[in-house]
Amino acid sequence: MSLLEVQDLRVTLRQHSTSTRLLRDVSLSMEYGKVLGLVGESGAGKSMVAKAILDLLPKKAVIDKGEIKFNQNSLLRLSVAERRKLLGKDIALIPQDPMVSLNPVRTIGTHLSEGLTHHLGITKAEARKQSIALLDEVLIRDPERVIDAFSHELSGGMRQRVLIAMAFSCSPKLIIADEPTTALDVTVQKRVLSLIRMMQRKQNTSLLFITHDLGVVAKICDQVAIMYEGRVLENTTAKQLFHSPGHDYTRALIDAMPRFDQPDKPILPVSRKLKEQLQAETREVDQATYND
Amino acid sequence: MSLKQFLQRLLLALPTLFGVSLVVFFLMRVVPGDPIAMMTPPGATEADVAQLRALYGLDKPIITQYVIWLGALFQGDLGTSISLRQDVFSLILERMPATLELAFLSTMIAIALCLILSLAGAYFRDRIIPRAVDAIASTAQAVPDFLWGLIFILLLGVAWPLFPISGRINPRLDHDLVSQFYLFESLIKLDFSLALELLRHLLLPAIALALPMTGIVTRLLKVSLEETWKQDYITMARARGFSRWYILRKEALRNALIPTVTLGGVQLTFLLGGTVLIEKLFSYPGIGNMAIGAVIQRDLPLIQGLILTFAVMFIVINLLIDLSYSWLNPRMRHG
Amino acid sequence: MTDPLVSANRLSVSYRIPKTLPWEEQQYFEVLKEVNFEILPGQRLGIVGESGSGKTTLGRAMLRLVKLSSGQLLFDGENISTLKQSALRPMRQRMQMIFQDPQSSLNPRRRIANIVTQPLIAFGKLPDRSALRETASTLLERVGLNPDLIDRFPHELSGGQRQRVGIARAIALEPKLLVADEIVSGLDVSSQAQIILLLESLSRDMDLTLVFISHDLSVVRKLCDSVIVLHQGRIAERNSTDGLFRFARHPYTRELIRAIPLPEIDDNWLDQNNDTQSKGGLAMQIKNATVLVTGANRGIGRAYIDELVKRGAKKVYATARTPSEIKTSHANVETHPLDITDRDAVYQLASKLSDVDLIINNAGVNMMSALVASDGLDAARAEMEVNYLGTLSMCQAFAPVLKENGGGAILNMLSILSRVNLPLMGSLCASKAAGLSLVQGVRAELAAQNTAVVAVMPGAVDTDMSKDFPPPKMAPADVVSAALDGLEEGLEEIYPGEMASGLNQGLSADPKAVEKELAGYLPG
Repeated sequence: MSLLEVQDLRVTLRQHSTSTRLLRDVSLSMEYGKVLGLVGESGAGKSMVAKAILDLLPKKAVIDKGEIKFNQNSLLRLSVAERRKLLGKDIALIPQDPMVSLNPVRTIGTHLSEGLTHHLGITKAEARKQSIALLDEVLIRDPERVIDAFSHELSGGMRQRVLIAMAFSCSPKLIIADEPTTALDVTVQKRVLSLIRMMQRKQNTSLLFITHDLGVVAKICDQVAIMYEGRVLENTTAKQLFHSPGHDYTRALIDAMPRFDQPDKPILPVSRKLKEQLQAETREVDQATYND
Repeated sequence: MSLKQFLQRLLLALPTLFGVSLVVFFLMRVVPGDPIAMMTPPGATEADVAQLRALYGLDKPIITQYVIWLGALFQGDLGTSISLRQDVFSLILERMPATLELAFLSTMIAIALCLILSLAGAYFRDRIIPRAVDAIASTAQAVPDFLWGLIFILLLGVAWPLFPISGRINPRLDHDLVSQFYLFESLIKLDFSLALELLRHLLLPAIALALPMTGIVTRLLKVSLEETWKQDYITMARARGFSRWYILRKEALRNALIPTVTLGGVQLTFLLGGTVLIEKLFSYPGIGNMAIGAVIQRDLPLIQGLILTFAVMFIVINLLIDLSYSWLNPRMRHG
Repeated sequence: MTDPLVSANRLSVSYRIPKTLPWEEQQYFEVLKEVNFEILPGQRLGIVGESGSGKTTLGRAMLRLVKLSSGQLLFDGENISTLKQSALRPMRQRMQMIFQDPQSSLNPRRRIANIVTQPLIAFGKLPDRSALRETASTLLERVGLNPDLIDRFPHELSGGQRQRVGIARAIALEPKLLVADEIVSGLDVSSQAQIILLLESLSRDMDLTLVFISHDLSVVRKLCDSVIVLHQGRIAERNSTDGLFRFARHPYTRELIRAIPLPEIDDNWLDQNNDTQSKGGLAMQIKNATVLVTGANRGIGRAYIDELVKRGAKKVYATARTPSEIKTSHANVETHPLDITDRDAVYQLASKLSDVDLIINNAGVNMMSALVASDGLDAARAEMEVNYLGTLSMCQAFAPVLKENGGGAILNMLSILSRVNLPLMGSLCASKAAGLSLVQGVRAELAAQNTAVVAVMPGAVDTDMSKDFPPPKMAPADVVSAALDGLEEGLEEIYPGEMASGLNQGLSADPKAVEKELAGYLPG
């Protein structure tokens, strides 16, 4: 049984008289306690999937078709208020850029405890106590001091730890991590990834991990979906993907990566031929679904 | 801002005040118009004029006059008004509370209107309300304060005489107020009927003063709120399931206020300057009104005293704005 | 020897910290602290480091785009550290920079043709405006862009295309030096690969000296021939790219390398501790190393061969007096006869195996001899001959080979008995003590040439040599595993197993007590 089920999701951006497809019948399924990697180049639509789940789609983006089922319930049929009750409690987000994802005029403690008081209905004093415990859990030294600090007083890695604590604070069933380490230094990235996985295992959370870095995917994901132009090209286990990629495009992405342990390995950009083929496929899909 | 920084800022204000005194003193001496000539009757003899000149120290060299004036200033002596023949310092002290009450009420009205309008403009996602807010703000800003004053006098004072249009209080009214802060005192004494009477006098000039500032600051705050709404921490708050109103109030407003306060502060000094014309228009007995009389009479000591008073008020306002800025923005707090 | 194109001597850059009040004392923040380096013509130098390490400032300082607070900077032999900007201007033709964000470095209101030819016009190299479009097309072609793009505006291009426009503009004046600051970090892997290949071919075809600033060591390894690692405004390490990856000297470099996620499944990668880096010594990665093992025919030697192959060594030279005893079927293991007491043979082998970068001095003998209680010097002489003099020959012969290969490591198999004498085999212990002293001396002598010299000091190991010895004894494979782990971590003394580490602790706490305890085991 799966926790999250995205079925044939089609999203179109309608601006003035033009309309652009953002997602083309995307289907994904997430098991309890597993990590699904959503991989693609910029513009592949991977963040759009996250936005659709989190009810953060841009005003002009319309869901034409499809279904998002969370815990057997259709998210798209819920009212705004019902959906808000899930967000932050059962579904949480770890954002991309820790430098700008914390409110500069509010303390770390406020960020943490407002979620707790809002979703769990506990008192402010109790929330503060729990917040300190959470900071301790994400391995922040001196949580008693950090809780009253403002975000500008913390380093990027520390801020990402705080955001991770926020995401896990209400023991959500699903966490969406949107390129959570792209903005970090590589050494900090490793520590943050370790932390995310440690927390994910501890709480048995399902994790939707959005990234463009196949190296990171190999280290943290159980299952991988490769996206291109709003389509899912391949959806398989991480083991299978790195052992024998099923799609030429996946292969091409791996071949384009430089590797420090294989200095003589040639790096090959994705070939124009492959891209043209993929774009032709996209056009075909669009024509076939034009009247749906 | 730490106490040390606050004191340092105060210290920095002294050279500013000194500069103001210098400019005021010398500028007043070069503008045409002779105060003695203004006060003496047409038939006065040369000797009479010279005697008067000596009395007010105007016969000495200009540098000497300045030094004397500055020396007295340090003892809290601003000289004697030529036209009113009273001590300038006590004159200003007596009139200032009226102006302060007007400016304070006006500022409060402006802040309240700004918050209501810009929050409404940012909260509603339809097309009508944000546009209505823009229209109101543009109109409020486009008409200068004294024109608003005239419009109010004509509409609410003359056409439909709902409000008194002159003075601070009904002169026939008996009252036992001891201070010059009529409104504050009546409120402290819980004398609400008196406070209402005072408010009826204050409201029109206060709103007239507040409107242009409201227009500018509302537009500023609304744009600032819209910019803030695009920030990642707002997206983050939305993804955590907080309502739009909650996010607007708790997450966005304070951030949006940071750039607004800087510009709003400048507007506040304009508002203070605006009291001069508004007080004249509503025959309101504040220092602005007095300033116009002093200029017409070429009453040099009084003009100097008043300008210094305004300079002090500007400095205080700027200091308050800096304080509120560092309260709003934690990044400014630790130097 | 060619003269360097850029040479920096104690270069420092600091920024003023803005004052809140006019009478406060001016504070400075030092971004670069007395940095020394040289860049040879045609070199491709990578500068890596984390955010705030000063790498961007270093790139800008090279081109005098920031004010130097002290130090000397030579460009093409000319001292430019104090030149005025007006005097620098003509030199700017020879030094160009490409920035991280192509979006903000390209004027959004100008067409691509005007953007790429702008430097030519600024320096009066394009007197005939009619040639503008043609020149622009040529430049675009050189960076692999369709010349039809000359009439487009920057926002109409993709990130990768914009970055190539930036490169086209930078090479328009045919500069000698090109500084590229994080130009691939915002790009997808495919565009990144294109840019790397482009820079590679440009630097080859145009004889360009390239300074490539990046946080991505994988990219740097692909593109650059040498690397500077910056850490907190100082050069932590400078080496050839190859050398850096094999013998990372600075703990920070090691952490950087270990933190790169490779696209292969590794369930343990995230669990590996990040904080083991504070060991001071040189480290060496076994992967892709070329290793020589002496005494490979028995016990520990055999275990070394197996473990080295398992850890991905490129080549293993297994040597022994009788190489036929070396049993191995691995394709990349090569056997050679070697008696390390034969100095000439050692030197001959050193001249033959010129690609070695790790020497494991494992050969040794144990005559099971006491000191006073034994008759004559034969046993002691034999042990010294092999354990001390043979090892010394190896070090002497192979140190120049290692130096030639950019660094490396010498790992000597000693014993915990190098540190305390066990009278039962007192003579062996004396020779092993000499071996430990040798390690310290050689380490000091070779420190400057990037060579790690490591002592491995196990307790009792289960081999033929110790078959008369009572348990507990450690399996050879475990000793080898601990030794190679220590080498990869940068340890200088490795104590595999409980017995060795226990004795080591005892020796540091109370050496006399340990000595007394072992004195009980007398021969006979």
